[in-house]
Amino acid sequence: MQSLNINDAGFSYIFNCMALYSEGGVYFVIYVISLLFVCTIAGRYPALQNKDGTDTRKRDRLIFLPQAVMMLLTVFNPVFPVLLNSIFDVNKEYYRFLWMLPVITLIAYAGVKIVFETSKNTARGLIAAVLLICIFMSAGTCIYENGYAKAENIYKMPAELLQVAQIIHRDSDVEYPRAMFEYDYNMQIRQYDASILLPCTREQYLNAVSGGLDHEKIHAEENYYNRLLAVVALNIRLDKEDFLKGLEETDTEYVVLSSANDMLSHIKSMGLKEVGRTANHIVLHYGLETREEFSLADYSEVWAMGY
Amino acid sequence: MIRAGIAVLLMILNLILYFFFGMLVMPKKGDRRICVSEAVFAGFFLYYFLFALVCIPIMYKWRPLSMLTGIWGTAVPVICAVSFIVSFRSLKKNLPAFTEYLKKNLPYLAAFLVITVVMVIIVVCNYQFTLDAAYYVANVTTSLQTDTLNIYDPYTGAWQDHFEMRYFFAVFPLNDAVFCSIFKIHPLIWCKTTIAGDAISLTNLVLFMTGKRLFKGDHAKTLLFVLFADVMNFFFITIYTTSTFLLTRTYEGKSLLANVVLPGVFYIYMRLSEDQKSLYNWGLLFLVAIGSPVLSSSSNMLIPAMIAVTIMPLCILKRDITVIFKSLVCMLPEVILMLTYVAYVKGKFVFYTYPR
Repeated sequence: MQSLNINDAGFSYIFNCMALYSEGGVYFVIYVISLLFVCTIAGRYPALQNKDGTDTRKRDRLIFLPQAVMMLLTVFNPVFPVLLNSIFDVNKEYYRFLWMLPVITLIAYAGVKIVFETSKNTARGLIAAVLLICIFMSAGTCIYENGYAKAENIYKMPAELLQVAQIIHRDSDVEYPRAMFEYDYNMQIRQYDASILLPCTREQYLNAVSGGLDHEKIHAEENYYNRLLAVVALNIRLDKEDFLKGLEETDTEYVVLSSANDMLSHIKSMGLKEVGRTANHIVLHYGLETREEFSLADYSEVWAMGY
Repeated sequence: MIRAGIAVLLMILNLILYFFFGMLVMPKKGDRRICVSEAVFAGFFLYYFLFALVCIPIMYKWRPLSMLTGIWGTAVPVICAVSFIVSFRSLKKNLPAFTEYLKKNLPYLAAFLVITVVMVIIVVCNYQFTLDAAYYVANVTTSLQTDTLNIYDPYTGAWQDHFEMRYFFAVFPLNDAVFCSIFKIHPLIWCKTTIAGDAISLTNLVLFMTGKRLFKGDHAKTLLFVLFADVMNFFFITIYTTSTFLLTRTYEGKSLLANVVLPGVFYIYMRLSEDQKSLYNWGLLFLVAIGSPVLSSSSNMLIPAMIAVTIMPLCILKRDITVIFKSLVCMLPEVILMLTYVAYVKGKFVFYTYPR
């Protein structure tokens, strides 16, 4: 959880963590209700017992209760994350401990018990099942809340991204051209085509778009990719000299922008030439003055030496 | 369309491979019946454990992906053949009972299949933008492009002078690269269709096994249990939940950790709560423990924690001190890997990608 820090939040960390984990959903609440249900009520009355008349509570308690208690004493204990974080840095990943709680398993189990053990006939059972499904659906957020986006192709990539890769390779005279992209394409292009190199890593890109770049860092005589990030990702107008130095130092000869990008004309004015376009993207080329051509490391000699 | 068909066939092939790997460790003596779902579950972990045993030394010695493909591509059919030979008698013996089981429960099993297939179609036809794919899928594409193993940075394509230990033992994506290399299939198709389909199938398989045990073999209840769980998976959505990982980052090792490994440990706990002395149950747990670090390095933290909070209380509940020792043995592989990573982070060692 990037937005939460154990050192800052202290003992309230676990509550904040759970709030972020659930985001207003009530699955944890239903889990607790289900736990109480299967451990106390279910099996107590004849209608809620197994068909053979046996009480299911003892077994259910053995299956679900010990882990719930252990989780309460450890993962959900406000002291525990603070203590653990003093040994290992678990800030980003503490929420994964919540995965250990069988929330879905227990709720589904309790739901089936309700349907089968309390409903005497099929119609009532069906109604109970539908009602429960409605409860589950309203207990959280649907994955397709904002609509179902069907993949454009079998690669599950934007069709234009594939065209952009083609344009770059058609234009480039090297096997491994380096290109600067806007955020989405930067994260996707190498999934499709690993022969296109990028000037910056995912973390460097994320750092830039989350406000990690200032004037000093952008103009520093190191980490020249920051200049490309400033222009392409942050829409900061750099001097021609500064931007081109960024391209030269990172060996970047292509810049791919969406046609709606405000920096398009500014970048073109710095001497980059359009070499192709798709419906919504434009591929710009910069002729590097000096290029350190990328080639794959040759390990054959190392192997011959017996390593 | 042809490529989609191939991706689906490979999805089924993977499950068959897991089954044959699983048959190697399924008890065959006595009257014990073979459980197909359990064989697939066990085989999945054995498969990845054995893959890591082959892959890591090759990677450590900077040998190419093509070498790994040659070795593992030969080993898998051989292992499957051996498994078939050693299991043949047992499989033959179990066939009538299995046929009987299929006949008896056909409507429920068919409905389970329909639920799983529908879920697979919904997920694999969906477009999702996730940041971590920039590593996990690009790592496969980069390995294929460069014919290397974890030497080039998936994010940029730059050569790295040392192995990133966070991913050194979690070689799950390199198995993807091997299969893409063998079947000449694009990593995006393999990851986002084949592996995504397998991940959902395995998730539902574990739910099915859990339901069957909870409801003592009642298939009608088990089917409703799976349906309820799957409905919840579509609605228990924030960026952190297991359901989100299942439906958006399906092909990642972390998704398998959240939806197959941890529920799998819970399933094993249910078995152990009935028979904590069973060597088979402990063997299954150990298999999960040694196979899961290959999927995701987060296993190194979560599996010991899961065993500690879920399995260890059996020591008190069953008044059996050996539970502690057996649990510790199962935790040991992850603890060692976790300490190795801590040592790396603290600068105690580095594995370079060139001779020094």
